[in-house]
Amino acid sequence: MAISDTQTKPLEFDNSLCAECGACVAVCAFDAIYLRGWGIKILDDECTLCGLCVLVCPTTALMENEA
Amino acid sequence: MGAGPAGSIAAYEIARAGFSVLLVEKHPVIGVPVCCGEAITHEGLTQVLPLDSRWVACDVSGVILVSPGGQTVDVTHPDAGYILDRKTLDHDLAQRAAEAGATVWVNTEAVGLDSDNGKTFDGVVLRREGKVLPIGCRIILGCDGIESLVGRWAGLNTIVSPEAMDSSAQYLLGNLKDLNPDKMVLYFSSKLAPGGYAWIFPKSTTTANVGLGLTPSLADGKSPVTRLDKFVARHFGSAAVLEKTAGGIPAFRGRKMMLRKNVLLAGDAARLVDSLTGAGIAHALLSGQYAGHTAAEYLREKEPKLSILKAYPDRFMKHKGRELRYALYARQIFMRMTDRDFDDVIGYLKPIYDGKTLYDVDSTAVIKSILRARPRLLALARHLIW
Repeated sequence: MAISDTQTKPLEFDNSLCAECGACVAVCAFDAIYLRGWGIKILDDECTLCGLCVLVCPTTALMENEA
Repeated sequence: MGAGPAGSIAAYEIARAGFSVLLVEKHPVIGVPVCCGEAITHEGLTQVLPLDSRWVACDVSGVILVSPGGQTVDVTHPDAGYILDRKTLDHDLAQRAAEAGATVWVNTEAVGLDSDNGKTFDGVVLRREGKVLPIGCRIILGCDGIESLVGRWAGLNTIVSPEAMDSSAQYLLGNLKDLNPDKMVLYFSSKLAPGGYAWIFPKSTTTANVGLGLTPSLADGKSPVTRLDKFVARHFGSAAVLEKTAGGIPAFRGRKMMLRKNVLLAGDAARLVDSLTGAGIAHALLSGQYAGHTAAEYLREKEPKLSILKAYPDRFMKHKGRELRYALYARQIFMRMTDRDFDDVIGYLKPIYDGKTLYDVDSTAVIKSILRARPRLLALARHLIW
């Protein structure tokens, strides 16, 4: 399942803000996030929604869905 | 794996020693994106490479430290270092590896390691032009930066905790007026950049890398880019933003991130970074060189023992271990300093260093003198977290 920008997803990703820095990958303890193309891919089966990727993202490309 | 400074230097050394080496880069262009402040000391660069002016955007001759209250310490150090053009440096280092005989594949991504015997890794799995390619090999060098997936696949815990990360955003600004092209400027403020600092690294008389790094666990929800936007608006209202970039900088983890079985990690992938300043290019160059030399020694043996590879972390740690360990300790204190602490420390340094010209700077010695003068700062490191 790929991440999409629907309102029901707990994590939001904005490709246009991603600088491909890799901080999210480095911080994920569940091997749930990868840099792919110019952006990221989240493996929903592995992701525990711990939120560390959102915490470390320098550009707010990764955000928690406030809804 | 990875054609940044560490990977390209290592590939060069292995090719030069006469062995077949494949240098793999997932991006389509080597050197891009530049997730780096591009600053390096003269010694940091020339301890590994003869200086090439193609790599130098600006020759800096000192630093200006700015306290939260606006006090400054302006130090001249004629041979301080350079703000580099990483695109050209990275390109040239890969070209150099190719000229020495390395095969270079861009747009090629590693997706895993193979191990038939369970004792050593005997191959990597690559994705290239839509195909999955298993490649057999005798030794693997993980030079894949902050992500450090090669190391993770080899069984090392390369995961970085948010306290051990500097999350940074940077803009290349152009059309700058009144830029001082001679000095780096560092802004310390726990409000502006908690657990980090903001910087101006001039790249010409009118352009500069302007960035901000912080420790995410201290950031209170305000991202580096949000803070950088405000900083730029305040100081550089009419500047043009020519590039936007970001980076995650890992803190040092000791020698244990450098070697596992026949997998060597170098540069950011091995977390060989100055945990106080975030400086990593010099350590990437040096560790890449040591890793390449040691790999060649291993490859020379018909029946190599894994113990030969221990010379890699031994050599690097003997050279840089003390400096990196001390920077990690200094970071622990630095992360917990308040604006009052920064004002106090800059106030201590000002009469000693402001307006002075230095020819030799031992940063470890300067930090030690600060801690001797302000021993209560030592209490901030009382609870070392990792």
